[in-house]
Amino acid sequence: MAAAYRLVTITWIFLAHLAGIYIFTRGFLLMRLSLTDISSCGSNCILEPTHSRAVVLIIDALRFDFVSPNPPSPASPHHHNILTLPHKLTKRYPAHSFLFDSHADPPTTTLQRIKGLTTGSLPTFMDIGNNLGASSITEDSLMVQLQRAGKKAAFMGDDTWMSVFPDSFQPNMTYPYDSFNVEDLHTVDEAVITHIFPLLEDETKPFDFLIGHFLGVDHVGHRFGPDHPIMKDKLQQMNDVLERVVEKLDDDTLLVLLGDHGMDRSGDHGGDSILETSAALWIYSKGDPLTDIRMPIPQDLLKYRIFPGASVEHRAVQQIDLLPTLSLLLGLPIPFNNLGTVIPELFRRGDLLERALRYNAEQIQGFLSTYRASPSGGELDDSWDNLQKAWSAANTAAGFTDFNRQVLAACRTMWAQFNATLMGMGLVLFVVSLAASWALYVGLSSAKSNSKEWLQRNTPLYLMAGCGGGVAGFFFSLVAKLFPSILEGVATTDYIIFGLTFSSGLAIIYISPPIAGLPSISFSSILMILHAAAFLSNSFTVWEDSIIPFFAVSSIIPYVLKGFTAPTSRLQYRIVCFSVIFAICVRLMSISTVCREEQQSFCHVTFYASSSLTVPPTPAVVMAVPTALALPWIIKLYPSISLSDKGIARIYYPIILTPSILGGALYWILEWVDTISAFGDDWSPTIRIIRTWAARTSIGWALFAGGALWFAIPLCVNITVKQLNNKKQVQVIGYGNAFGSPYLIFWSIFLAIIYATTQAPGQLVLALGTVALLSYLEVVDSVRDVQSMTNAFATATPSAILNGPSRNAHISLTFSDTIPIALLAIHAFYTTGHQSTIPSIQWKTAFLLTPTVQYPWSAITVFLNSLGPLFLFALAVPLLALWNQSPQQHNPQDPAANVKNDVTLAAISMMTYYGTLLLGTSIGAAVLRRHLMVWKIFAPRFMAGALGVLAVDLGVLLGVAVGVNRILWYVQKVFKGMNVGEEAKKKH
Amino acid sequence: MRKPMSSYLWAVGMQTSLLAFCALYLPRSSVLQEITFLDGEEPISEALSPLEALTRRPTLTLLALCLGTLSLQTWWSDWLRRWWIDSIIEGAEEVKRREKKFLTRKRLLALTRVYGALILVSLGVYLVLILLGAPIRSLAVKTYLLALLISILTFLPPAYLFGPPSFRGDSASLVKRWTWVRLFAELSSRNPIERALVYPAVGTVIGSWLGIIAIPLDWDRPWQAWPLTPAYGAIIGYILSSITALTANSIDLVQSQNTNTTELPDKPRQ
Repeated sequence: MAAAYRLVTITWIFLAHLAGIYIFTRGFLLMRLSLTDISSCGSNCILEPTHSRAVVLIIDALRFDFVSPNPPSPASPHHHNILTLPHKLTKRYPAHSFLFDSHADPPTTTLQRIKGLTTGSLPTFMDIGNNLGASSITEDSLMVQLQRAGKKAAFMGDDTWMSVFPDSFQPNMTYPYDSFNVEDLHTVDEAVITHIFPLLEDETKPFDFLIGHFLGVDHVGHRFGPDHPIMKDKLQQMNDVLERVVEKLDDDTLLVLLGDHGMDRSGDHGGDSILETSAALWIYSKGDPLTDIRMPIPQDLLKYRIFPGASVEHRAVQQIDLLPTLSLLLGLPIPFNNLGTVIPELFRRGDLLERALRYNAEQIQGFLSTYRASPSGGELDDSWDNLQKAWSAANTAAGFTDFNRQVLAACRTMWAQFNATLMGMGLVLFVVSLAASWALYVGLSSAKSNSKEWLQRNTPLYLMAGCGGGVAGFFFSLVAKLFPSILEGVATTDYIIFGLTFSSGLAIIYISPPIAGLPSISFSSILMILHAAAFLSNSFTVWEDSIIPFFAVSSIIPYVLKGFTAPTSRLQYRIVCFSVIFAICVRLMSISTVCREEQQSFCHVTFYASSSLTVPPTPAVVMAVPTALALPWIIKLYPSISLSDKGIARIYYPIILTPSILGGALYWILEWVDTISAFGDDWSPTIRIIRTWAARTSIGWALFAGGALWFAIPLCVNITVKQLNNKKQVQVIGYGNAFGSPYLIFWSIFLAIIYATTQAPGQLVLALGTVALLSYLEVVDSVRDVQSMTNAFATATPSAILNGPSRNAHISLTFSDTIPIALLAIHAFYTTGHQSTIPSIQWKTAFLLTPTVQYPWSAITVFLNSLGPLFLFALAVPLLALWNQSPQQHNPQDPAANVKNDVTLAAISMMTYYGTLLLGTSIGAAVLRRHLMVWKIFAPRFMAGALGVLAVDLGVLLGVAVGVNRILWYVQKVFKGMNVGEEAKKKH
Repeated sequence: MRKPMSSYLWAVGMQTSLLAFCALYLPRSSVLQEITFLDGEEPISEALSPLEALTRRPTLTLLALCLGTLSLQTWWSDWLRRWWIDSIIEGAEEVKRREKKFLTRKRLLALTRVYGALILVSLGVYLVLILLGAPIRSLAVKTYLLALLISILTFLPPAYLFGPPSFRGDSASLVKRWTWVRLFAELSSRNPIERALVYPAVGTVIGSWLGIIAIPLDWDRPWQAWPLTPAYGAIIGYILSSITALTANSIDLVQSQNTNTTELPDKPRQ
């Protein structure tokens, strides 16, 4: 029964993490399904083109007031009334020139805006589709439609376009420039200026569509802010360029100038404030007028808004409205996923306006039906009926516009809004679950040998409190329905989940106030706090992979110091040597890295042969087989120190682990052979079959043969029975590590599985990590010995030490004992070729068990590859409590009482560490959601943190529920009633 | 007649201000700026800002720091040693004098042995820095100079006082070894002199550890170059903890004077 309570405790922490992640993610991560359909409808959805060519100039971060004729007062001398050409021309030629205040959807970052501008859709953190890893888009877009119409596109400027549209532009008219160097204010602009005029002047008209993307204004904003004299020079330069462009423009070319987003007061962007989302949009037709001023236009089609601080309202549109407008003006179909509405002024001729709006609405309805029929269609449940009502009612210009705008609003709620309430609720749950897990740790560690009773008494209490909270949450949701505006987007299930977790967490905190444990904060705990606090800084988050080995080696220093003070030279030697082995392994692991984009120029890729060649480096391949052969042998050395490499260990290591690890190594060697085509392409299919089966055998053999053997006899001891003086003498060899050694076997089954899913250099890392782990276990065990000897010396009867472990002599695990393993886990994650970024997912591993992508196997192997290291080292955490602990002879009823409590403490410590990291990453992501780098750094780190904590929780849970429980049950069964007092051999 | 506390105060004040001078002015001295063979850069004739002069060539800065602290710490160790000798010898004035003479006899030889041990220890610290994540294949000279600086600050004074730890089996070596363990592994100091050794050593290590934190920030400042921040962190840590030791010793003295038990050992005559 006690075991069940322990599991309930650990499961509660896991579920609390899950609840927090679920609610926070619903408020934070914006996802949308990207449909791959392409608009093609012959002539039923296109208009007669008014222009055959277009020049689209983007001035990055050009806020509306920079070009506005009525800037806010007092006007800034540095950025107002400087770029004046657009409003001068608009005043002079109102039928040819149109200036709008356009709303750019947040996140206001260039990549997202480029996607929005060309697909007409709303930006989200992640477009779920076939191309999770790449940033290029497969959706229908303006570029796709241009290509289908056989139009030639030219490009110059910000190279972000190249990652989105790698092959949409004519190679001889493509001039991309690095966009990352914010310090550089002029290179990109000068380059655009150099390349654009020859193309404009070219009489052969080589391009039909030209994009020029200037970056200078954005960079000046980031570096100096908008109120700096350099901004004035920059805008002046832009104005001059525009004047020259207008001069060179022929009558058949449409000119569009826009800012992809705005900038806030300090010149940054990324968030959803009005200054960031308000961008300039200017459309100019040098030839024919686009609007017939005499024609009436329904006023409710035109929206106006006042820019903050300005006195006059101005015509306002959505930025994505440009896409349908531009498509129809150029005689192209509107891209399939578009949600924008044509800008009415530009079609104010004859019956054009109604036709344009009808095509537009039909396209949106087509998209809506397809999305409704897709697996994500459920997202539309709430709004579907109203939207269909609006669709059937629409048959005038105003009706179509109304329908379009309703769809846009519905999609926006669905995809593109942070929900501050949900994020706040999620953060509260993270804090409560963290405090509660710490409270559980404090409660259990102070209850010591009474922990069983402690759990029996308190578990029902907090579970009942949880149920109460769930019910309260349900009733609160009914009340909240009365105030929909405040608590928008929070569903009944959210309230119930929140109530359940929150109140049970509070109950735990109330039962066992965690404040009591604060004085025990040690150096290692400071490392944990620093680690979590690092996620508030982009630099520290980017360089986390270098910080972790620094912390991991630092975390071993208190043990080394303890080692010097050990009373015997044997213990001194053991502690110092194993600590050094740990540190060396950690240091060697950190040689392996895949650098993330932000680390470039300070980082050298070693996990692959080079940064552009994702094959393993040759030394890693050469060392693969020796490592695979040595690893099981080295693992077996560690239990052999305590003579506990007997029993099934003799069969398991050579017959199950070695072939299994070898199979995993073989797979990746063959994969390498395949990539360099050593034997030519003819051999490729044969090699593919061999390696598929190598992986399958490796994983299957470890899991089924190893698992079955371990489950049948989880014991690594030799028991001999001798007849001596009419007394039966039982000799047990390996008794001193009766729990630890079989758990190591259990653990290494999963090591073998994850080994196979890890690429060759990662396998070396895992091997080093294993050695570091086992060395650390020896360190902790020796330090515990030092502690118990010191305690014995301090008592009145030091000779009691010779009597073997007694009830009071048990040295309990401390919280900081888990920290080196926690750091080792995340270190292994980074050094096995991962980063906290989406592009670093190793898609290769999807083909481990099957030659083509097959669900669920491909998904499982990718998950195992990505989160396996974290899972594996979390699974190892019970070893801290089990290693070199023998069953207690004086307590025949429950010989494992101490061990059980320590296992629970170790499990909770590990979960607490990762819970702290989760809190750090989520606060980082929530607080810095307006940060320029949120989608590149903070949000991916939050996702890695969330998945990481779940992997760790599952590892710990599996270890305790299956590994520890099975071993304890079996050991208890074997040794119960057996008097092993004097005969037991524990080798120190 | 003798003012032990004021002379200790004077010595710490002297040492910390000289250390600050070493850190802030020595690397900028015109002689050092002339040196061109390190860091492979031509000397710049135009005037540099103080920060530029300190950070332009980290190897040179570190070298200057090492040379400066080496001479400073040698003087400080000698001062401490005389204080220590005064504190341990007892008896009549004449006996004391003879004893003292005997103990301070082979100072040069002792110093040579300490410098020899210093090189070994600095290599050990170098390996520890590598383990903590210092680059293996590049910047080796810079890393070694940091290791040397840390060793000079932490290892030199106790080694000069007690002699470097030895691994021989005789009982004198054993006692010496356990003194080292007690001071630097258990971090327990029993008298003002030991405190004046242990606190700055711990402060140096903490200071340089914290100094690492500034490096990954994306501020692109020249002072973020390896290993300037841990080196300056070490010196700042040393100065602060030296002053802390002084404060703790003063508080102890006041307390002991109140209870009238022991006295702060005398400072030798200059």
